[in-house]
Amino acid sequence: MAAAQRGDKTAYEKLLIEIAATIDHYLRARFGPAEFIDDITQECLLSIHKGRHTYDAGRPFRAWLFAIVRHRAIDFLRRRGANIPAGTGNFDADAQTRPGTDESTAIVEASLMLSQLSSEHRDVIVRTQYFGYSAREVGAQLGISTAAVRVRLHRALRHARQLFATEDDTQQ
Amino acid sequence: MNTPDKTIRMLVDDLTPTGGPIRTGRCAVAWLIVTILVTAVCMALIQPFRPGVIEQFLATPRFTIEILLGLVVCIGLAHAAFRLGIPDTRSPRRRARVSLVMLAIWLGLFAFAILAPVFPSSNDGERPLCFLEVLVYALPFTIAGLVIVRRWMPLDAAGTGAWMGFAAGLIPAWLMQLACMHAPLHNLYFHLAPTLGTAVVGAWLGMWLLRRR
Repeated sequence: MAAAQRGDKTAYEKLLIEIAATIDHYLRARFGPAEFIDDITQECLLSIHKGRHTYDAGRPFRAWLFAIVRHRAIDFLRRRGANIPAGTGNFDADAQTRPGTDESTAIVEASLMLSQLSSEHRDVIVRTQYFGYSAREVGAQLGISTAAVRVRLHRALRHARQLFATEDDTQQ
Repeated sequence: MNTPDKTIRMLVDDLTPTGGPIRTGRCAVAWLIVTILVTAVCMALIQPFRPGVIEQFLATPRFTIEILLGLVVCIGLAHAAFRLGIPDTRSPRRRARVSLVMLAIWLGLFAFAILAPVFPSSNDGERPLCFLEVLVYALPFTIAGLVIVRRWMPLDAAGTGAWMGFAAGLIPAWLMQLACMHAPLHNLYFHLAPTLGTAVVGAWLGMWLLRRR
């Protein structure tokens, strides 16, 4: 990144290719083979490009990179949760039935992350992010107000973000 | 060529050299010095500082410690607020751990002063609208700090705004120890409590100013 900050295009290309693969792996480990992974990866790459001047070579690169990736992923899921039409699931359902593949491993890892959330938080994330129901529809399903769903989703995503942060700190 | 590859190609073509690394510490100290000087001048223009405050500062070690510790807290929290402009996986609370401990000790000193006053409470130098002054002085410097941080990459708009508002509010609150009447409870209620308000206003300003462009 230091070379890229000096304008070295070859180093920058190499870095972005490696970063794209890392982000892809990071997101698949958390969300499984979801269709939006490429979109988030692309958003992350754009953010990294826009914010490359903020990287300080004297500080850990991973902490800088994953802070951007995590925030962009959560931003994306939030926006998507608000816009997605109902009933369009994001996960490749067949992949969940193929044991031993990367996808099934990713699903297990995503499930492990979800299992650390409370049942209320897990439920609201699954309904809005995986099955694509709107806050109003989830409210009707659960018998609570739309505002309550939004508050619950906000808290669930915040908790998920904290779990990511703990994982990153452990990895570092 | 898939989409990420196309994006990478486009970004590489767009690459231009950036300047040296951002010195958040230097920016924070510069912001702090300007904020302290301008706030102190404005406060003095509205009403002179408390009579005999220099003698109190030189002659009373506990008061000296309170003032110096307050300055350390202001420096630490200003630096923490500016650091939020740089992406990092560590939470703001974790990054500002030392400053928050200092803040707790500083508040502890005021609480202790309720039981054992540093010197007898008096109304000398009383400023009728000191709590309002804290709010008003903090506002432009919160905005100024956020405008500086905006050029970097603050990921949490509301959080950065709240920290900046809190740091900006602490400076007039700290100066009020020198400018306003000396009474521990008055200090807590009318000088330090408004910093919670400046943090809320800062969060709102952060959402407004730092929203993704």
